[in-house]
Amino acid sequence: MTQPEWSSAFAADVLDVVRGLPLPAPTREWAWEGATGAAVKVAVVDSGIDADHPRVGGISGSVAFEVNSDAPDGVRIVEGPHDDVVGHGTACAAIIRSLAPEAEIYSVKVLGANLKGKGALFYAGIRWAIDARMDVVNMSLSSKSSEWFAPLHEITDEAYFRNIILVCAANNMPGPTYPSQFASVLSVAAREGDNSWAIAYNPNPPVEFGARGIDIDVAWSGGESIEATGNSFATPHVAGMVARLLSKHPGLTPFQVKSVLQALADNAR
Amino acid sequence: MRPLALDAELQKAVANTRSVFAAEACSCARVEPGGAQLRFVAADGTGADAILGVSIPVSRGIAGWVAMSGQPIVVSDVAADSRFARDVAESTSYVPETILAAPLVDMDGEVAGVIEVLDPQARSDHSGHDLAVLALVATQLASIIRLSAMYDALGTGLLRTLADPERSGGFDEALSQLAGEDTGVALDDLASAFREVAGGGPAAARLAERILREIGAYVRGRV
Repeated sequence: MTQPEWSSAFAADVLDVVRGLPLPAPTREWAWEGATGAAVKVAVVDSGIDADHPRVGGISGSVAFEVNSDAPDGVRIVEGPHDDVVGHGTACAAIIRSLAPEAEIYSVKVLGANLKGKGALFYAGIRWAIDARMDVVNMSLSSKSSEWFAPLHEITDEAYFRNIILVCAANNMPGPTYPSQFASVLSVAAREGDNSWAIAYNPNPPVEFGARGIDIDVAWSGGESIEATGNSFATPHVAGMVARLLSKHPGLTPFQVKSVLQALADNAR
Repeated sequence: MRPLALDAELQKAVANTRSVFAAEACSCARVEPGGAQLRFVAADGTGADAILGVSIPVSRGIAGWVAMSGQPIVVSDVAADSRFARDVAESTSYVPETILAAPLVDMDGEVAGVIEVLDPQARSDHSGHDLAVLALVATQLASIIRLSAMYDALGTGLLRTLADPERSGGFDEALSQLAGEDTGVALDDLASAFREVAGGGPAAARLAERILREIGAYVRGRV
């Protein structure tokens, strides 16, 4: 049986030491000390964001995608404010805000009213993030549909070559998932611990990074907060770290960002 | 042999899952053919009677998000969210504190449904482990649904051959027609009628099996 890509890969007794590149010491200070995420655009591709949630503290823009058979590519774009009827996108935005307080957060709502066409909506969300020159894209969702393997592979490569950091939740279900298993993205699984800045590097990918995502207090819909667990909550922790890193070191490429995060990993020597 | 009745199999599975987690309730919802709704087809525990048969839009709630994102999730203190509580109260009187939810993903990677465990008491000290267990249960349920659909298609093919022998030209052609995306309402009805017969108890199951054998023999005799 295929082993699910679980947070167990990041347990202290199984996580091997990795050799990180030598960053200027002290490494974490070099990476993001004094930075705020300012001038870094972060797209949250999810269920929408409640911009008025106190833990979100406002957003810089929002766009929604809907399935529409009359539109080219079958997807219609809806500009302007929207709400979050689930709460998940709000949770992600608040996590990013907590790590990168001045990041410019954009809500890209792709979870629509019908499961048919969700691959097209995911694709449209990434397309928009590339065209709108986002710096970081948080994707706490994935597709297992083989139909979307090639299109998602192509567009994540495009994002990679345009220096856009895609941070994707690893899928905990057996079998391949897209785009989280592509080398062009940062894939993230939840890891135990209560330090929001902790990160680990898994030397046995496709899941590369582990971050806080188990039993954590998160923002939710209706201005509330809840406790939650899932790779989908670990992902915005990494997106927030990347936003902070990029605000101090603008122009880092995806491979440079990966190298820095690996060097900062708890298991790096 | 196909599961006697899919819903009965799912019902057993949610009862066992509820037991494993010592949960207040456990339920399984399947994606409706249109893709816009999740319909609860199996439930066990508190509120089970109220939730069975209820459809909810995939655009709302935790089950909807899990179906859309394909990600398993644990959320606690959800009752604090008044909108969530209202949504749930519309379908069942029981509003949980904690929900574990995982998607049922079929072989093509499409989400076939969602399984939810409400207020589990038997938690491991690692929520990630709980979620891993539920994700594996979900994978097994997706397999059951897939096998059931396969048997339905087989039964429908046989019935179609019997019902319209002149047009079908044989079992192979009937099957190849069924392989198309749209099998048509009439075929769906035939399949569900057959499922009903098969699920009516041991005697009915034997009858259903005999029907299949007879049809098979008839088809073999014709071609």
